[in-house]
Amino acid sequence: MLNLVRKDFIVMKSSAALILIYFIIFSIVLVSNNMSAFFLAGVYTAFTTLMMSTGADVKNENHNFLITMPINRAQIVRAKYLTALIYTVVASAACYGLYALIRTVKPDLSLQAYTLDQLLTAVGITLVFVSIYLPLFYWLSKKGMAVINIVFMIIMIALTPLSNIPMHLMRERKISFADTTVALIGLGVVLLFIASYFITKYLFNRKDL
Amino acid sequence: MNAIEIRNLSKSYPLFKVDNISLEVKKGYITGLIGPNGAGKSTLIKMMLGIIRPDAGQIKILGSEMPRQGIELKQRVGIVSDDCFYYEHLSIQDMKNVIAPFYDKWNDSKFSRYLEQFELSPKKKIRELSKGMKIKFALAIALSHGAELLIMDEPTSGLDPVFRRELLDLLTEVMQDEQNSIIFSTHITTDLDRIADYIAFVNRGKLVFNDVKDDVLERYAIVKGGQDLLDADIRAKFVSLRESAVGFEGLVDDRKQAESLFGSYAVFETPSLEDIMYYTAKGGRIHA
Repeated sequence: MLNLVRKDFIVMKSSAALILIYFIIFSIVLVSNNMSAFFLAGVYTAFTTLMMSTGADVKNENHNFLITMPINRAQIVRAKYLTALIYTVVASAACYGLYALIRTVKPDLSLQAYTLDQLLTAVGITLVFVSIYLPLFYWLSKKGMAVINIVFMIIMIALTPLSNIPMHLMRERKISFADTTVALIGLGVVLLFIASYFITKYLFNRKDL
Repeated sequence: MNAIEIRNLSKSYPLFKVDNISLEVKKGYITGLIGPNGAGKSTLIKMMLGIIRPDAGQIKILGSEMPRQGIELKQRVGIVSDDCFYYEHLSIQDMKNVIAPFYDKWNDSKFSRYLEQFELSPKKKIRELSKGMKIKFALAIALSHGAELLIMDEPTSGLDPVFRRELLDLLTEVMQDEQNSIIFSTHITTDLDRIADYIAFVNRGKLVFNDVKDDVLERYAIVKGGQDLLDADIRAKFVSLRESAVGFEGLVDDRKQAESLFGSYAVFETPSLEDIMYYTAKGGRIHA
């Protein structure tokens, strides 16, 4: 399975610069317009990278090639979930790092501290997106991919203003990560991610490539 | 010992079906899988590889059941297809870096040797390769991980005659190791005239025959004669019959029987694989 993750990184190597540009653009837009939703830069970057990665897999019907190697379909799906997890963690951490850097370099911007809640929210939102996106991708594949990507782009754009509401409520009510509700939501996200993997595996196993 | 054993394999589509095919591919030989376009050759191969899920039936390759034992099995199988499903934006070197770690017996120096032999630059992107070059690359991959079975789906279509001949020589070289086997699907039957030991003929989703090539060529015959030799019973003996005002020409699948029927009144010719494919695909009576 690690070879498949490695494969994903080799395939995405040529897009690294583009992903970095996306990350910078998302960060600039979110810092200048809406500080509370800055963590979304991590969500957008991770999810855009995942969409590029799945796009590369279906561009030339590459699953047909992958399946001829000594691997099975479950491993292909598992590796994609692992890759998505890596994108999520790296993008959220990069977002956190960039935010900390901006605060240090530009103290005059008076940015609020990037909290652990925000970091976990970014990870959580991305994982929810991934959990919905990947079953659809493996089910509909190339045929439905354009539509799925457009729908998810719209949802992501809509997420910016919408994300202010829960973040505002969390700040007002001083909810911390230790809060039971937040912990339950976190658990829900993890369970959704695991359930999504099994659904995707089931769908991809039955599919003719 | 069989390299491939297929039992009662079926797959239905709205306009086409692979119908209850059972097929054995002998180990240590080259088997040509022939049939007209759309006969079901590629569907059959895709089912062997797990790309398409069969509706019913069993597939055993090199003694292992597909897809249950597919991971271990695919270490020993090389695939060459006219459809190139590699990542087009990657270079040959990158693509090799993707593929090589999956194979326990990957041989890097062998791979470099094949690239040199096929005049492929490792820096060249997959999308820059011509169809023939892509086939060469696929072949270099397949031959660099010690595959015991080569599954080749239309590998010679789109190739120039020089490389086609080169490819066939290379396959003959591969077969020097008696443990190796090749299944070679094509509609260009002249390639198989040169190298195949067995011929499996698929037409309209059904297996017509799977036999030793020389036996097939001995068993079938093209019969030519005058119209006066034909009646309803005789016509029924033909796989396909082409009649004109001056006479007939048809394919029979039992040369001995035809010889006893017509004696010296008709002319008998040994058909080529292409003749057998043509007449069987056409079927019935053809009016010239």
